[in-house]
Amino acid sequence: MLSRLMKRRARRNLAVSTVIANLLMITLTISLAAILVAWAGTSFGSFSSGAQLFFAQRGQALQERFVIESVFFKCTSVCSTGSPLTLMIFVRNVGVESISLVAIYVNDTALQPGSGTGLCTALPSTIGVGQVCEFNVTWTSSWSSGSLFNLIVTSSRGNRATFTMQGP
Amino acid sequence: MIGGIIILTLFLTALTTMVVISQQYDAYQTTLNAMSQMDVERFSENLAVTYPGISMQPNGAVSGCGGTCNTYNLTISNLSGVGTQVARIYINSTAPTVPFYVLYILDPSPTPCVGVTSCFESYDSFVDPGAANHQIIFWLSSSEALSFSPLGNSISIVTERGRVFSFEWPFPPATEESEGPVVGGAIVPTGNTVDMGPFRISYDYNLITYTTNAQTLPGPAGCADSDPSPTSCMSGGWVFPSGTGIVFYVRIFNLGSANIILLDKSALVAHSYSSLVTDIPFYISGPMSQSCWNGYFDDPNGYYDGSWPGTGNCPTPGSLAGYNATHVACKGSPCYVIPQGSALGSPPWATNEEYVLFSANGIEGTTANQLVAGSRYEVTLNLFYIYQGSSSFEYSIALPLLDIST
Repeated sequence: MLSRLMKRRARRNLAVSTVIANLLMITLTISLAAILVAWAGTSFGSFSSGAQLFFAQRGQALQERFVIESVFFKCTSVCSTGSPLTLMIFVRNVGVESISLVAIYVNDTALQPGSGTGLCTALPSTIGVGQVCEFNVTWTSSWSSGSLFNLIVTSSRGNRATFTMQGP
Repeated sequence: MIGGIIILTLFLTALTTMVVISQQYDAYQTTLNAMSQMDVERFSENLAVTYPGISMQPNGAVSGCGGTCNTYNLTISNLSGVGTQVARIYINSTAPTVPFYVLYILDPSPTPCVGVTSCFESYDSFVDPGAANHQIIFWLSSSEALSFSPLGNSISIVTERGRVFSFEWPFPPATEESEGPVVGGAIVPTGNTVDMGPFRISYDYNLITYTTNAQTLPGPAGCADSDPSPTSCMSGGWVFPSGTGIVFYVRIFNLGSANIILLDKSALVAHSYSSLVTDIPFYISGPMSQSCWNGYFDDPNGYYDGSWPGTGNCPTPGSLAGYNATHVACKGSPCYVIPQGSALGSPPWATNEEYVLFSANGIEGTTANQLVAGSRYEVTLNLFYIYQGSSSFEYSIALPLLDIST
């Protein structure tokens, strides 16, 4: 009778075996380690790819060089105050990357280029390395003889070229 | 052991990330350095257009340009230590009327302009470091002439690196010095020139001559020292007679592309250094006669050389004619019209010169004014004129001309 009681008590005190306990601990540790490594990998990866993207974009923007090399005023008749004025804008890509021009501002007014043969007639407009592009924009607002025109041309990468010229 | 593996894994992951980022950063720095080098070279470029800027080859008509081209030379110097490739040339004629309001775009071409009306010689497009007076040949269609107006052709030279070098042409140099006539066995330097608007004043030996009733043919002023060079005269003062009527003959060149009509308000004004002597104006007087004028061409260079023909019939204080002009046309005849420059803007300038007479003591007056004895003056030249036949605008210039004494 006593022997049966002792066996029953001993069986009640044994939760899991030592082997099972070790396996459980190892599994738990490995799971946590996997989670930690995955988290670290994702974090480092996104950090790495973000930095990679940043440097790549900065590098491309840095390689962009373009200049407004000439602006010519074209009048339909004698250039007189207030008459329609067409600005012929010549932009040259002198960098080592193709550029995409996205906006032209004349005196802080965004203008779209007009049509014409052999011209860059729309925005955005891509200019290859070493190439020059002619935009014709029409200034319809009032102007007076000798007034200044401030011109800004911007690229898709955030660079810009400026030019200031005196009107006819 | 498992902990070690975990730590090692984390370390390797971080290390890989750092290596990747470092590589990107290095690539970025490499790009940055390369572009910085490009910028350094770009901003090192320094082209300067040298006299005469643009000149036309006299017999340079060639086929091309959709017909016939005229051949021009553009003279530039490379003042920098980097070679420069000219990518394009713009000639922007800014004359105010439509026929002259044109833009020429010149791209490089090995032969005279096939399919376009203007281009430049591609073999001339590279300018060596330090090259002086490098010639770039360019062609324009014969049907399109360059405007020779002081309002200007704005010419832009664009380089492959993106620099733009602009200048106005025609641009007479600020100073020009060359050998002058022989006077008394010595060569007289011609001195310097001053350009104002369309006018050129050349400080040479015959910049200013004069007549009096005692000296009926224009002769040079005396000098305060024995050296007759204009520079020395400038420092010592040119000497003119006093107490007698005097007619000044001042040589003026027209560099513009249109005739200049001088107005009767124009004058030489002698400003005395002494407060006791008032300013003395010598208003513009009637022009010299043709026989007098021809005397100035006795010398092929247009200089007074002492061999005066003796039939000058030149105005003196005793034969002074009043000068009368309006903005539209001269009422008197003839009026002062300084002929326009040559169409191509090339020397010799002597073809565009005029001797303008100053003498009268009032506008349109016929009485010659006089200098006061024992005085020293700074003489200013005040010219009022109309240009291009426009009656709408009246221009003027004022130039400190000479230091004179009596």
